[in-house]
Amino acid sequence: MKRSKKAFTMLEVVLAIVFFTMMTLLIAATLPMATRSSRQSSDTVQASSLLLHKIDQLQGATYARLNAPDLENLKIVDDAGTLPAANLDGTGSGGASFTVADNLRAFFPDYSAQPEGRVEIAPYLPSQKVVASVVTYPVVQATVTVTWKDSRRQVRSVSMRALLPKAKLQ
Amino acid sequence: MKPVIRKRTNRGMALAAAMGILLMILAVLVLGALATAGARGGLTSTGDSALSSARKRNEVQTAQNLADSGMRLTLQWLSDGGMISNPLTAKAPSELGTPFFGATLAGGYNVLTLPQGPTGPAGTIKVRLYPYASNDVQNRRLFVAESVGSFSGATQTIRMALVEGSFARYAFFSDHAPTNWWVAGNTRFNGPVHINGLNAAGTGVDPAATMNILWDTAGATSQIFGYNGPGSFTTSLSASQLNWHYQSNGNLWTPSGGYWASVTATGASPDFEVPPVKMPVVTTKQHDAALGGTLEPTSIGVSVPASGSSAVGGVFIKGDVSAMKLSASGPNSTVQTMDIYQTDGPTQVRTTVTVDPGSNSTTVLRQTNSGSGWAAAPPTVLTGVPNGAIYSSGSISSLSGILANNVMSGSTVVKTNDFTLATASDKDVQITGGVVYANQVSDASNPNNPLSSAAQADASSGTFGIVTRKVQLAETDAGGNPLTDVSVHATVMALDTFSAENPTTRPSGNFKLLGGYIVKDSGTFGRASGTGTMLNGLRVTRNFDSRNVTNPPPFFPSEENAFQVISYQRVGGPLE
Repeated sequence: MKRSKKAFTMLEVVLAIVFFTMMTLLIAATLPMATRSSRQSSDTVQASSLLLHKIDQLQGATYARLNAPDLENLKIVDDAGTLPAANLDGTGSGGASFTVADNLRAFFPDYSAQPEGRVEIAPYLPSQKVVASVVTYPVVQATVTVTWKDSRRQVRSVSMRALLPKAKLQ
Repeated sequence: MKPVIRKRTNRGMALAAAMGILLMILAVLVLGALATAGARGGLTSTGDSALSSARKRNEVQTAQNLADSGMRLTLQWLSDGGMISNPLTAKAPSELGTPFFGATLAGGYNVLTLPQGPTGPAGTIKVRLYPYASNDVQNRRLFVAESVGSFSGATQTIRMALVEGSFARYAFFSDHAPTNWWVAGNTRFNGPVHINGLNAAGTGVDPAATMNILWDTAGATSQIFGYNGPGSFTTSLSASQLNWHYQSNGNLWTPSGGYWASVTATGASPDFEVPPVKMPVVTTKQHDAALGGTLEPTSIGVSVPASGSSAVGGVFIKGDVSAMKLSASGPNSTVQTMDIYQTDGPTQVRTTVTVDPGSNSTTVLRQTNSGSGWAAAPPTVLTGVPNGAIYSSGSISSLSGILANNVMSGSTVVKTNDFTLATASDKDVQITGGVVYANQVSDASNPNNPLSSAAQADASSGTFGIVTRKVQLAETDAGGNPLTDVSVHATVMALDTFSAENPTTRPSGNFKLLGGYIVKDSGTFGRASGTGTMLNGLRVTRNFDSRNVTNPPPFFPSEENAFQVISYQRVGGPLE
């Protein structure tokens, strides 16, 4: 009689097992989401940092070097891409990847199969000047984009556009 | 038995009920957290908060980038000469001159939008300028620019102080790489040095240009480039176009690592392949400043443009000048006199301009001599002093003399004696004797050639600049004596070259320059033996006038309207 008084009933044991199982399942269900959010935030931060870094590099290269050979030599882009061969008057446009130059694969996880960084340059149209029928653009706009895939294989990207003038900071 | 049975039943129900309630509460909490995933709160709050934080950070960085772009647009606008007027209050750029890249005008700002990516949302840029009240009288205009970038609710403001760039900031500047130029012996540059190294057509860097620099490993004592600041030695040439020769044996040896400290005060290698700095080809700026908005005279002579009896421009000289003699008089030698001699057909013309900043007056006395002696017209006395621009439409065959001091109150400059002498861009200046700051004269025994041993001017010294096509140091002074020692206190820009007359045959001597040497082509002053002994001509001692960094000669050419950044700050909000 003493032993049976101290024991749990079958109902108590079953309820306890059900309770702990459901609680564990529910909590476990939230963990991947928390992990995904955390990963997504770190990817966004990383991508934003890459954008700023690339814009800094382009500003440092100066207006006169916003062309394929110079940007390639300065290791700002992977290759010539479609960037203009020369761009002294700011009329050229085109783009190139910097995926390798900045080793984007190292910053994004394995499931992001195709991280890509791209620089696109183009004339900043409001800066157009026409002197003796010659058109020039003393301001060039550079658009930098980083694209990656998250854990759900969804494509994510962030972009930033900067204006790069011919005028020099001394 | 009854109490036992009742007791067991009660316990079982209570526990079951409690567990059921707990389960329901937990389920509600967890499900609630799941339902609000993506937003703040809930069990995923840590991840969501980090993501939200990351997005906000991206928005702030984008706003910062927009503000920076606005600031760069402002620089371009200023460099394009967009600013026409100098108001005393904050204005949007387009209110001060030319349109600002299609921006609209709203609330005292120029406002424009800039999409952030091919399909991304647009941010806005707002810009305005705060010109300094002193811009009308300062040798270099000063501005504060503010740029506000906004993106998705984030706002960032950048404030930048800018000062107009001036070629006078160079101790040495050469548009072309000096032919067979050797930087050797005692050559020292204690200010910024820049070599463009352009080809003859000026279209790009000459790939065949080279420079030879003889260097030693004696540490600070052998530093050729002694300026420890930005731009100590910059060049558009590539590193391979500079030949570094080790002084002890003449062998080619390019400094590296710690050896740079024996060559440059910065301890760093030169900046190679920097974009060329374009030299001006005309002196229109100085011409217009001297006229002060008045019409250019048509007859030979010297005028101080005036409105009524007030001086409104500088000093304008029409025609060639046979001699310009400078002298200082008055209290503390603060009164500047310029005796300007010209020939108008058979008539000699002598114009004496006396500038007295202490009494804020200028006197112009014109005398003529047609062969029967000098006849003077009544002097013209004006209120105010010239703005510092002295412009000659002709060449100046003889220049020498003493430059007046500033008017001081203790150690504070009250009134300046700042002048820039410019000629038409196809005319020249010949220096026939010392041109020396009054408070730096060390030997005035030869009135045609005052000498100075000063390595630096001080606050009370005047300021002088020369802008012309060619500058030449004559072989003899105005009295016919060999010019073996000559001192020039001026920042000189020669649109062609600055050299000595007959450098390989004239007697050997010394040329002491206190100012800056800015030329298209570096000139020859003499020739030396392999041991550095001067065989003929002048040994050049270059001393940079460090005052030029903040206060260059008035209307001295600027670098294509380039502006130097004095400060760059991220601030909490606009000034007004």
